[in-house]
Amino acid sequence: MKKSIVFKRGILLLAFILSSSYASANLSETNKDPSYTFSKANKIKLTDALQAASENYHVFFSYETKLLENVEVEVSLSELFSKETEIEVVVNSLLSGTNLKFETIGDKYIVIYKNNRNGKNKLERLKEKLNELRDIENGDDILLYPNSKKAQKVLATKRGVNVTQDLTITGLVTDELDVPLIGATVVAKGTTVGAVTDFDGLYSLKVPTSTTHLVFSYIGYESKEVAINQRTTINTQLREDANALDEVVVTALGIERNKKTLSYAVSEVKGDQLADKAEADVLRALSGKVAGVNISGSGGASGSSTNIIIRGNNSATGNNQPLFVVDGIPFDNSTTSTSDLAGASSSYSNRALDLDPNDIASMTVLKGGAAAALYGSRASNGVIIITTRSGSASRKGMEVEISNTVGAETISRFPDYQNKYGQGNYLNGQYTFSPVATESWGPAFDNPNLDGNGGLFSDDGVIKYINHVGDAVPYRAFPNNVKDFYRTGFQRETSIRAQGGDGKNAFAVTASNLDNEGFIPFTGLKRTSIKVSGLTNLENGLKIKASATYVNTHQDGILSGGHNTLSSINRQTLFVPRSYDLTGFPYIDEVTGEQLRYTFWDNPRWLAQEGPYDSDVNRVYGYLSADYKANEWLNFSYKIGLNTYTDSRVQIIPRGSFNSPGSITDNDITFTEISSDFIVTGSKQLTEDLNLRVVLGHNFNQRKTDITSFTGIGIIKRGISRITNTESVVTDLSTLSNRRIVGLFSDMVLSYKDYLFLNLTGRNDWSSTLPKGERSFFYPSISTTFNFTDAFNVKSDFFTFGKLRLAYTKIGNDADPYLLQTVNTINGDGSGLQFPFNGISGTEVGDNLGNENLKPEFTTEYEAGLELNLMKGRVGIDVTYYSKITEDQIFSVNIPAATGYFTKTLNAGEISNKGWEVGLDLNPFLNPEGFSWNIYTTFARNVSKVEKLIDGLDQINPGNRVAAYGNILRVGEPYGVIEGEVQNRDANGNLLINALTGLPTKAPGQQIVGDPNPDFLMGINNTMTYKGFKLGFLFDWKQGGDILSLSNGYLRGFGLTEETAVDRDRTYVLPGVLADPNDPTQPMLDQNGNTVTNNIQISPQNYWSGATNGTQRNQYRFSAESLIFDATVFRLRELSLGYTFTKQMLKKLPFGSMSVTLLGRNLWFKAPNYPHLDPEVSTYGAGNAQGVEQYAPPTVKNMALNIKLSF
Amino acid sequence: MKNIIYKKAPYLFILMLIFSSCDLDINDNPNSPTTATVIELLPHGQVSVIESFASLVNAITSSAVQTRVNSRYDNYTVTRTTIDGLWNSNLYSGGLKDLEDVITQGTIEENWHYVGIAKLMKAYTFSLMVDLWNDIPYSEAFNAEIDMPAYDPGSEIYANLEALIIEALGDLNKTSVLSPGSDDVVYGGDLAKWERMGNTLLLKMYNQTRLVDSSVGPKMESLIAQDNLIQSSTDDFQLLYGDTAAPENRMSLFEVDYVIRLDNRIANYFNDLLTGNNDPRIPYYLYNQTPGVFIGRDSGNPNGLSTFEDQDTRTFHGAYPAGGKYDDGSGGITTADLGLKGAATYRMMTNAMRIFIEAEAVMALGITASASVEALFEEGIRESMAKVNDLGVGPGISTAQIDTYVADRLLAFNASSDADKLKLIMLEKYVHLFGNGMEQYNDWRRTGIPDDLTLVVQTSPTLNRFPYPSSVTPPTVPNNDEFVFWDN
Repeated sequence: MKKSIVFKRGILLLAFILSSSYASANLSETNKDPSYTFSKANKIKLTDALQAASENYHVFFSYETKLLENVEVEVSLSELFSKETEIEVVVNSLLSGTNLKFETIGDKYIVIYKNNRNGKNKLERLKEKLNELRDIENGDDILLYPNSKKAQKVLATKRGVNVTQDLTITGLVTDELDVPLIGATVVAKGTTVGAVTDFDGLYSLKVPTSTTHLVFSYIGYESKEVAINQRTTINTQLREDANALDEVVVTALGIERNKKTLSYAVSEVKGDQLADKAEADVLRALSGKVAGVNISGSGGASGSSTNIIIRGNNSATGNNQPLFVVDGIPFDNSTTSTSDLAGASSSYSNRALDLDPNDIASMTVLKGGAAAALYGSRASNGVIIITTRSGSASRKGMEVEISNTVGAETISRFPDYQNKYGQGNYLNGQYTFSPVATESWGPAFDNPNLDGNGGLFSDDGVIKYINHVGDAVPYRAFPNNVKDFYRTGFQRETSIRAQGGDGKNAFAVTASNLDNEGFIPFTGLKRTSIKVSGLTNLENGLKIKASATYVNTHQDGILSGGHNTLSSINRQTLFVPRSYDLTGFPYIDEVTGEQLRYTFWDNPRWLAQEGPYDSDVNRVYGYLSADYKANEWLNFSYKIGLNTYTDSRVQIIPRGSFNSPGSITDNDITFTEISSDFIVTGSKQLTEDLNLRVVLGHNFNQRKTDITSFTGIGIIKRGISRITNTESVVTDLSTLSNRRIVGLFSDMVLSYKDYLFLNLTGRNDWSSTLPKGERSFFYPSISTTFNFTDAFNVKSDFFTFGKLRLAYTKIGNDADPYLLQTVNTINGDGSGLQFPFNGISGTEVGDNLGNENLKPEFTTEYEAGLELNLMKGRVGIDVTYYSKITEDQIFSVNIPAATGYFTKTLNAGEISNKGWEVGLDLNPFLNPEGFSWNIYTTFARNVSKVEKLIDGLDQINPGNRVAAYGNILRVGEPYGVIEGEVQNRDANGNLLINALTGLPTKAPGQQIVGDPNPDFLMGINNTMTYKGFKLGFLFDWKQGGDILSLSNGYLRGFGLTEETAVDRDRTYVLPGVLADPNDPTQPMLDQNGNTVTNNIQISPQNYWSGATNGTQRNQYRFSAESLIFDATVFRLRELSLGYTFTKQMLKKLPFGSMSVTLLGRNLWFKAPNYPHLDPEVSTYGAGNAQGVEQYAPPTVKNMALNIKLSF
Repeated sequence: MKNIIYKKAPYLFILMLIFSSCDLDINDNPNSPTTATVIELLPHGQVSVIESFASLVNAITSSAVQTRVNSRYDNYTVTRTTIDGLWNSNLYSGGLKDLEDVITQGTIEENWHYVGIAKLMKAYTFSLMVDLWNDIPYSEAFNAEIDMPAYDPGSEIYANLEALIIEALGDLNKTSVLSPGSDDVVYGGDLAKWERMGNTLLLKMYNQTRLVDSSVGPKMESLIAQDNLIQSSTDDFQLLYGDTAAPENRMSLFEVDYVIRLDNRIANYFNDLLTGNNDPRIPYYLYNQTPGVFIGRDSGNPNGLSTFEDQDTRTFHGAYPAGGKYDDGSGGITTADLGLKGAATYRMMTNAMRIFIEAEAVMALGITASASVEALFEEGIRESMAKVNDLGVGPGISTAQIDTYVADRLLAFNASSDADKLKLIMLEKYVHLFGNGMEQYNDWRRTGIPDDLTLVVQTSPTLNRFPYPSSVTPPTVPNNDEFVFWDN
C-alpha cells in the first residue's frame, strides 16, 4: 500500500500538523469472509491489520499516516476477526500495545489517535467537523460509509425505503496547490450519503437524483458546497482555514515547534509580507510588523544602513544588533564604516542588504534570551531567523514563478522654504545682498532697496546681480531650486524562481535582479542574486540538503556625512540660498573640470558628479547538511555553513573640493564566517503523559575580517578613479581580526499531557577572545508553558485557547578579539600628523590599556507572557513582559589620560531594559468567500536604564561624539541620552542674556538635552480581502524620542524656511533676564537685588541664528538645547492593493496563477513636533549613536507595481 | 538498521572532531606590536607633543594675544570639550606616554642618551602644561595601577621639573648603549645642543616664576655665567616639518591657512604694531592674498563677515610662521602648492628668545652676568631678523633694513623709562615670537605686555588659564579667569 505525506505550500513541515493528513484504509465492496489468518505471536504492520479489519467489518479507519508508520502489532487472536467479535474489541486488542486510542463516530467511522492532548484535540476537531455534517443532515445520524452492509441496513430500517442512488459522481479533492487531499469527506447535501477521498484524493459517490449539492470538508480547511449541475465529475479545491490554531514556527537551530508549546515570545513574518514592498532592504520591510523591534534608517539614499534593535540596547559600547541566521547559518549584518561617520563619509550599507526579499519564506524574530540560548553569545540581542524558500520533495513536477516590480521614489518631505528673501546677511541695520553668502538674510525680492545692497542693480526694471560666473542674473526666488536637484528614483526588481521534485529529490533555483536609481543624482543600487538549492532522500535513510547563493550588490553612492562635512551633498543642497538657481547656473568648468561655486561650499552638483562612492560586494553563502534518522526516536544531523564576502570600496573626494588636492580611498573588506553544528535529537514518550525531547549539540564558529585600506592624496587626472592616479599613497585602517568559538549545548523539552511544557537549555562556550584558562563559560535557561484551556478542558466558543508562559535566561557573551593586550601603533597618528615624519618612522604607545583578566559579560532576562485566542480566532491577544539586565559589560571606558592611556578595557556596568509587548489580532470579518478583514496591531514599550558604570565614573560615551553634543551613558538615565551645550539660566529657568549682545549665554558644561529612545512603538496592519482583491495598509506610530537636528538649526539660522520670513521688518527681544557681565552664569542684579528683564533688541537674523559675532553664528539657536525636537511620528508605512486572477480568467492563458499588486511605501506621515524633515533618520545609521541628525539624506516615498506569474 | 548507524557514526564524529579540535590560541593581535623600542618611541613622542602646542594651543593662545583672530577662540571662548583631544590623545596618552616609556625602558636598557632627551622633552612639555592649567597630574601620572592620578600644584611640578632637567643633563653625559641619530627629529642626536636646550629651559622657567620666587635671580645668574645656553640660531629648539600631505607632515597652521582657509584671520592689532614700526619682517610674517592690501579683523568683533566670505581676499600667515608663501606683493589665493608647502618651522626656544629673557632678567632682577640691556635689546632684534633670513625665502631682509629698524627701536628704547624699556623688550620679544602663541601668551599673562589688547565686545571672561577637559573628573574645576601660580 502506497502512502504519501501531503505537503502544502508554504512553511515546509508546518504543513504537516496544519493539514493533519489523514489516510484511509480503503474498503472493498465485496463482502468476503476473513481471508487473513494469523498465527500466534505474529508481528505484522498495524496498517495491514487495520486493512484486514476494515475489509472484514466494513468499517472505515481514519488516522494520521505518520502515527502508524513502522508500528507493528502482535496479532495473536485470529478469532478476533470473526464476525462474532465486536469491531471495538478487535481494535482495542490491536492497539493494546501502543500509545494509540480510538473512538467510533457515527456508523463505524473509527478514528485512531495518539493518546495525548494533541491527539485528543485533533479528535475533537474531527468530531466537530462531523457534527457540522450532521447539521446539514438535520439531526439525522450521518452514514459516513453508506456502502457498508450495516449502514445499508440501518438506512433501510430507519427510513423504511431503499435509498435510490442513481448518479455516481467521481472527482478529485485537492488543496489550493493542487495537492491531493486524503481523507476529505464528501457528502451529498440533504442526505446521509457520503464518501471519503482515497490516497490520491479521489472519491466516488452514488447520490440520489434529488441531490443538488455536494459538501466537501477537511480538517484544517474551510468547508465548501458545490452545485452538481448534472455533472458526474466534480473536482474541487479546498482552501486552508485561516484560523487554524496550530501554528508551527521555526525556532533556534531550525527546530520547528508548535507555537502553542513555546515558552517564549516569538514573532514570525511570512515572506509575502516582506517581498514586493519596493524596498531593497528586507529589514525596512519588517518595520511595524513585530512588537518590540525598533527599526530606523539613515535616510533614503540607495543602500543606506538600517539600525535594528530588539528590546532595547543591552551593551554599553558593543554591538546591539541582533544575530541574523539564514537557513541555520549566521549571516553577517555588520555595517563597516571606512571613514569617520561624522566626517566626509558615505551611506555605508549594512549587509542584510544582500538578502533577496523574494527568496524569503519566513522571518522569525526570537526576541528574548530563552529563544536564543542555543545560538550562543551573539543571541543576546535577539535573533532574526530567516528561512529561504527551498524546494520540497513531496511536490511533484515543475513550477516556475516570475515576479516583476517597477516603482518610482521621490523625497517624502521638503522643508517649507520661504520665497521672499534672497542671499545675504543682515548687516549694519539692513538686509544686505551678497553673492557669496550662504544665508538667505538678504533683501526682499519685492523691495530690494538698492542703496547699499552691494551687487544688486536695476536693469530695465529687473533687479539683477552678477553671479559667480559673471552673468547678470535676476534677483528672484527659485522656489524649486532644492527640489530640482533631486530626481525621481526608479526601481525595477525581477525575480524568477523554478522548483521541481520527484517525491524524493527536490531542486529549486531563484534568480533575481534589482536595479534602483536613487533620487539623488548619480546614486543607485544594483543587486543580482542566484540561489541553487536541493535536497535528496537517499535509500539508506540519509537526507542531504544543500544551498548556495551568490549575490552581487553594487552601491553607487555619494559623499554624505555628518558634522563638519564640508563635502556633504545633502547639506549643500538643503541650504542653498533661495535666490540661487542651483540647477540652472553652471556648476562645472567644462575645460578644467573645476567646480563653479557660489560660496566656499562645494557645489553639490559638481560634488555628486565628481565625488562618487562605490561599493561592490560579492558574497557567497550556503550550507550543506545531512540528516540521519537512526530510529524512531533518535536523529543525527550535521550542518556546515559558509558565509563570505568581499566589499571593494572606492571613495573619492574630488580635487578642488574645499581646496583639497583630492583623494582616492580604496577599502577592501573581506569577511568569512564558517559555522558548523552537529546535533543529536532524541524524543521519547516516557509514560503515557510524559514526553521528553533532548537535543545535544556541538557548534564551531569562526569569523575573520580583513580590511585593507589605502588612501591616495592628490588626484592627478580628473575622472580616473584608480589609486594610481594620485601623488602619494598611505595605508590606513588596515586590520585583520580573527575569532573562534566552540560550544556544547543541550536543549530539553519535557511535556506533560501536551499542556504543560518545561524547557531547559544549557550551553558552554570556549572563546578565543577570552584569557587563556578563562575561556570557558556556561549559561542556562529554563522556561515553561502552561496551556490552561487544554489543562482545564475549557470548551467554550468564546475562550478558544489560552496559555501562560514564563522564562528565565542567562546569556554569556565573549569579548571582541585582541582586547587583552595593550598594543602599540606603528607609524600612528601624532597629534594630527602622520608618520613616517620626514622619513622617520615612529611607534606610538597604544591608547587603550588591555585587560588580561577579562571575563565574559552576562545578560539575565525574565519573561512572562499570556496568549489568548477568543471566539475561534476572531480575537488573538499576545502580551509579554520582560525584564533584563546586562552585567559585567565588556567595554572600553575612558580613564584619566594621565595614566598614560586614554581608555581601558574592563568588565563593569549594568544596563537594564524592561518592557511590554502586545500583539492584538482581530478578525472582525471572516468570510472566505466574501469580505474578510484582519487587523494586527503591535505595541511595544521599552524602558532602558543605565544602572551602573565603572566606579567613580558617572558617564561614558558609547558611540560617535562631536564636541558640542552626542550620546552618553549616564547612571540613572536611559541608554544613550543626548548631552549637549545649554544656555545659562537663572534659578527660575529664565535665560540669562548677555547685556552687550542681547543674546543668550552658553553655560560652561554640558547637560542632558534629550532622550532618543521612543516612548512606544505601535503598528497597525490591516488586510482586507474580497474575492480576488486584497487591500493592505500598515499604519505605524512612533511616540516620543528626541532628535537633535542640525539641519533644522541651519534651515532656520540661514533664514531659509517660512517661519523666518515672518516679521523680518521688526526686531526681537529674547525673553529672559540680563546676565552678570563678569559671571554669565549668574543674573545681573539691580540695586534692589532684583533681576533685570532683558530689553535688548536683536535682529531677526540674530534671533534665528543667534550670532554673537559674524564668524560664529552658533551661540543660541545652534546650542544643542535649541536643536532638540520631539520625533513623534504617525506614518502610513505601507499600502497595497492586489488582485489575484481566478482560474477561470486564466483558462486561456498559459499561467497557473497571476496576481497584480499596487504598492506604496511611506506615502504619508505626520510629525507634529518635528519641522521640515522626516524624523526617521539618524545620521549614524546602524550603531549605538542614535538621535542625532546632521544633514542626513532625506527619506523617500515610493509607489510600485508588482506582477506575479506562475506556470 | 543498526548497521547503518554503526557505519555512519564514525564519519559524523570525524566531521565533529575536525572542528572541535580547533585552536583557540589566536588572540595575539596580528595588526600591532605589544612592544616598541626607544628608537621608535622617541620621534613619535617628540612630534606628538610639539605639534600639540603648534596646533590647538597655538590657535587659542595666538588669538588671546591677538596676533591672529581664530573665529572660535578670539573671545576667550574655550570650553572643556575644546581641550579633550589635546589633553587626552595628544599629550598625556599621546606623546608624553611615548616619552615616559623611553625613560622607563631606556633606564632598564641603559640607553641613557635617549633617557636624557626624553626627560628634557618631558620637562619642556610639563612646564608648558603647568603654564596652561597650573594643577595637573604629575607625580602619580603614568602609573596604570592608579586609576585617578592626583593633581599636583603647579609650583611643585615646576620644582620637580627643575630636578628632572638636572637629572637629564646628567644622563646625557652617561655612557649609553644606543645613541640617537636622525630618530631624534629635533637635534639629530646632537647631545651638546640638548644640553644647551636643557639649560635654556631652566632659564626660561626661572624667568617665568620670577614674580613669585625670589630664589630664581641667583640661579639665572649662575646659568648665564656658565654660558652653556642656546648660543646661536643653530642651537634653536625647534621642529622642522615636512611638506608631504600623505603622510601628513605639514604644520597644521599651514593646513588651516593654505588648505582649509577658513578659521584664521590676522588680528588688526598685530598688523598695526608691525606697520607702526615699519617692520621689515612683514612680508615674511604675513601673506596678503589681495595684492599689497592687508585684510584682517578686530578681535571680539561681533559683526561682519563669516569665516569664508573673505577667504579669497584676507591676509593669512606667511612663510615664517606657517611654512607658507613669502609675500612679494603680487597676491593670489593661497593653495597647498605655495611657498614652503607646509614645511614650516615651529620655534619653541630660540637664541633671540634667550637674549630677550636675559634682557628682561637684567631689567627686572638686575642680573649682572649678561651684557647691558641695551646691547641685549639690539642683539635680540638682530637675531630675530637673522632667524627670518635663515628661512631662505624671498630676497631676505637687507642689512640696511635691519639697521634702520634697529636704530629706530633703539632710539625709542633709549628715550624710555625703565618700565617702558621693559615694555619695549617684551614687545620686541612678542613680535619675534610670532608663530609661537604659547610663549607670547605666557609673557602677556606674566608681564601684561602687550598692555593694549582690547576686544570689540568681550563676551567671555579673560582666559587666564585653560579649562580642564570634559572627559575627566578633576578635583576642582577652576574658572578660566583664575591665575596660574606664577601669574599675579
